[in-house]
Amino acid sequence: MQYSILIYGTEGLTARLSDEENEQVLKLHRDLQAELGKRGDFATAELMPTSSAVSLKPGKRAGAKPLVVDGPFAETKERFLGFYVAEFEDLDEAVELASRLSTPHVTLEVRPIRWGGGLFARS
Amino acid sequence: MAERQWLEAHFAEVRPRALALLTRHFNDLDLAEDAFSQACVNALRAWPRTGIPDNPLAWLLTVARNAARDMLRRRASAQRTSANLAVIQASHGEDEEPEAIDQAGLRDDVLRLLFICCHPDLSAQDQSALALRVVAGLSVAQIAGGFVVKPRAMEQRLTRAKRLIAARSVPFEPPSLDERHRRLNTVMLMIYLMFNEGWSAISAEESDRQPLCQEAIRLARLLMDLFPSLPELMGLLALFLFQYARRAARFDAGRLLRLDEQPRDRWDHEMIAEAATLLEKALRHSMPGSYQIQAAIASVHARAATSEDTDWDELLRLYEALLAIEPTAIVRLNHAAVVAHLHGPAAGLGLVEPLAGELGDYRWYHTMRGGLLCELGRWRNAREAYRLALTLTPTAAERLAINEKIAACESNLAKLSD
Repeated sequence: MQYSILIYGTEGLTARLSDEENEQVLKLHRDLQAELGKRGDFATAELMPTSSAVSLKPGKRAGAKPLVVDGPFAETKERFLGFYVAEFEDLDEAVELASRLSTPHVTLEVRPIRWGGGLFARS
Repeated sequence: MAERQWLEAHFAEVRPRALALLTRHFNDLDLAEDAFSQACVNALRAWPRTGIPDNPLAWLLTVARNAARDMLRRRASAQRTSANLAVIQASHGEDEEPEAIDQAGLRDDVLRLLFICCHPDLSAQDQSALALRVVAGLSVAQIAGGFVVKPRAMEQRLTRAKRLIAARSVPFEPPSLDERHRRLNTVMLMIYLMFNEGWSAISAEESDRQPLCQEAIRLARLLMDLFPSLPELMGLLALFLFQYARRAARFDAGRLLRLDEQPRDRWDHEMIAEAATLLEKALRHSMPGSYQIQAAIASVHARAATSEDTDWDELLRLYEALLAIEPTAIVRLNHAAVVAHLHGPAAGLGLVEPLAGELGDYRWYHTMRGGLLCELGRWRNAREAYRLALTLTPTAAERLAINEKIAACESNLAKLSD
């Protein structure tokens, strides 16, 4: 089963840390990526700050073009920072591997993928 | 202590919003600062045991409000004034639910706090220093370091500045649209000058971390978070990021490098990508302004893989656009540099020399004039220009570069007299 691991946290925190601190967090990611790489294809991305985002909201009237507005979809305390997608045996295993990224400063959401295209199309 | 660093990062992140709300609540900036510090001390004790609360801002606010009331009570019992007690009572009992923080009101409160720091009687430097102290929460020593002044002198300036703003009354009501824009423009200018101050003060040793530039970037990010659809604000942040992306490439063995001399592989290309995105977003609004044009100018340089690839025609168009809305001497000087590149040093010099009156105290005027004179082979005049630049307090890295130029002029003069 394919699962996504979605990472949420406070934006801007890591920019306030020393290089050594950031290196410790990066190491968690590099280790997980090494592990996932051994098992097959995976994808991961770190997102730019939400200030770089635009959101497309449905147009008011039927058939109207979507409205492009500046900023993220929702104003929330915890921001969507990045994600992984990979194949896991079951939920337990996905949670086990996701937990390796856990720090007191992020919340990780593990959510199965119903359908995937591109890299994640099932053969 | 790793954990402490993380916790302090949390405090710093919520500080502007917390101080804005506390200032609204108690109408006393000093009290707000003291109460917030107290709340952080409590959090340092509590959070390692309980974990970081779901809403750190709400947690810190609740604790800070209680701390502020205690402080007021102590003050009141010392002074026995009923006015203070009235404030305590008025602020009591409205322990609003943490989730009830009104986002729309909050953004104007944060803007108001920044705007208070921009008191018109304060110099641009003191406005920045105050915002760094109050809003960003930097220590006096850090701020003094950023401005390259002695901590004691900075302490005195901050004390004076705080007295001045304590007497200023800026209403708490949500501002009108016009007033909000006026405040935003004032605050953006303050942040712009803060960045520039930091940028020119950066020395080779600390090129990696310049508190003024970093905080200016953070303040611009904070404003963008609160006001997500202002093209000039996007332009401002883009401009900072384009420029700050070059921080690691500006120096070589302590000497300041010109843009065309910098090793471009040392530019921060992740940061440049973010800047380009912001500029793209801004331009979608089709409401050009000074910061957007300046960011577009920076993007022309950032896009060029090598100095030779720079699109000088595009630069000239952009500088002409900038001149049309902001015909200041500095913009004219930069415009002249592009003209010199495209049409030769004589054409550039023709535009530079009329600026002597306005820019006589500006060292970059003299170094640029010196450069053009060198290109024209007028070594004696060039040397004179560089010597003038030396008298206008260049940084150590600039001094090195200028002295090299003077030496080059002299060796050329010696060759001529042989």
